[in-house]
Order: sequence, then C-alpha cells, then structure tokens
Amino acid sequence: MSRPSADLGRFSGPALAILTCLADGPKHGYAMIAESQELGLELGLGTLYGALNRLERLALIEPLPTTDRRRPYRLTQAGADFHKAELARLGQLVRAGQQKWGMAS
Amino acid sequence: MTRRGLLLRVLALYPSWWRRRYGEEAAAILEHSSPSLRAGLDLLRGAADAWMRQRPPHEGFARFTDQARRVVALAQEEARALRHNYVGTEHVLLGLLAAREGTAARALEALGLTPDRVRARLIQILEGGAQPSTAKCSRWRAGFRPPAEARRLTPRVKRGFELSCQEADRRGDRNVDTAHLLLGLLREGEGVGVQILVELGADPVRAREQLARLTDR
Repeated sequence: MSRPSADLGRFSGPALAILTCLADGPKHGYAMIAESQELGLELGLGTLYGALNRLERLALIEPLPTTDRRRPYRLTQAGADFHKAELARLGQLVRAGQQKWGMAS
Repeated sequence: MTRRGLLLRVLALYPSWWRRRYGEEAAAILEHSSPSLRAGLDLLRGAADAWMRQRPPHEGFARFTDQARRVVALAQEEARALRHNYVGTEHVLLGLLAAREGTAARALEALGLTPDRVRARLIQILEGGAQPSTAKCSRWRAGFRPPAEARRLTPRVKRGFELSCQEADRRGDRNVDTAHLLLGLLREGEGVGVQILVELGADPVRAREQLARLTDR
C-alpha cells in the first residue's frame, strides 16, 4: 500500500486527517473541518477539497448523495485498509521518537 | 467588499467542473467560518492546484439515492436468481419494480406491470431464442465507471444510467432516483427491458406521462 501515499504528495497529511474523521462514519466537508480543528489541525478549504479529490480518485473514499447542499463521504474498504496501515507506520515512528527522548508511551 | 465576499470571489477562479462538484458546499462553509488571510491563501493555492493537478472524479453511482442504489442491487439479485451472468436492462426493469416504494415502481404498477408479468415475458423471450444482446459493446461517453461490485452491467445498462444522470441534470435535480433510472432506460430505448415495457402496454410515451403525473411535473 505505498502507492496511495506517493500519489497524495503534499496532501498526505490532510488526507490522513480526513481518513481519521471518516473512520467512525460518513461526514461532509463542514464536519471534517470542525473535527480537524478539534484535533489541532487547520484544514483550509483549498487543502480540504484538494485532498478529497485525490482520495476519491484513488477510491479510498466515496461520495454519498448530496443533502442540503452538502455531500457526505465514506471510507471504502481500500480506504480503511490504507488508513490502518498508515496509522501503524506512523505509530512506529512515534514510538521510536518517544523512546529516544525517554518519554513514556 | 468584505473579506468573506473576497473569499467567495476566489471560488470563481476554480475550474467549472470543480465549482459544480464542490462549489456550493465550499461557499456554504465560507459563509460559516471566520475569514482569515491564511484561509484566503489556501483557497488561492487550491484554485491553482485544481487547474493543474486535480481532475473531476468519475461520478459512478455517487448521485444515486439510496432507493436508486437499491434498484441496482435488486437488479443484480434478479440476474443471479435467473442464473444470468450479466445485468441487463431487463434485470434493471425487474429491480425498478421490486423497489416498490420508488416512483418508478408506482408508475409501472399504475400501468399494470407486475414483477411476475415481466419475469414471465422475459422467460418467454429467452426461450424463444432471442438472446439479449450483450456482445456488442458500444463505447459509452464520459467514462461512466460503476464500482467494482457491479462490473457485470451490460453497456446498455451503463448507457441507461448515464442518460439517467442527464435526465436529472435536465430537470435540475441533483440526485438520481428511480424515476430518473426509468427515464434513462426509456431513452436508451433498445434494451430488452424497454421491449418488455412496450409489449406489456407501458410504451415510453405512457410511461413518461405516468411518471410526470407522479412527480408532479
């Protein structure tokens, strides 16, 4: 699963935030921005839709019918797999870093 | 001009497909958030990215309502039950009838069609040796690409779904529901599904009239 991260380029950070937002159910853009703010990330509109466009083209997310001017997205199976693999990869990095600084994890 | 008004102006810089796809939601979000320089720069950078690096995603079933998606699933079931290894317009017709709460089902029922009558006629046609044409593969426009689980749709069905999206566009409807699916099938016009409709007394003109009556247009 290294292909999607290569295709995402500078959008891989925002994409990971979006996948995290969607991990517990479908959401539209507005909800994603709100939730990422709670996670301490500032997701601009240009970045949000740039990432959504790439994630959809990679079939990691899929759109649902629009309601009330808003289009919700949900994770595909490939998206869920990719998300878990990325979290595991980042987790390793986090643990290695914490170990070097003597931080309890 | 207010800062928010300025940001809304930036949306006009995006490609037209982008504005059709994301514009309305983006504008709604802008109206509800506090405008900042950073947000403005991100939006500008996004416009450049949209022109150079983004592409319109294939729409597939994205615009289908739950009821319309159910029709596709039911059509697959009908094909499976009949032991057909493809999903043709005849199965979509059966799917439309099986989704009984749908507008299309109500219109067809009003014209006297029942799943049993359609199935009986279909079996007659198949036994008569007139194989539904699945071999000829005309290329379809706009790259309508259904999701993986629905790979076995015949080109006619895909064409019909594309026409359904066009019907929705023509009426200014954002989502594609069962009525649009029936209209798409009728416009495609050559499948076994339409043949059965005509034979059972629901020719395109009558079917369209009935739909119009139900959707009040």
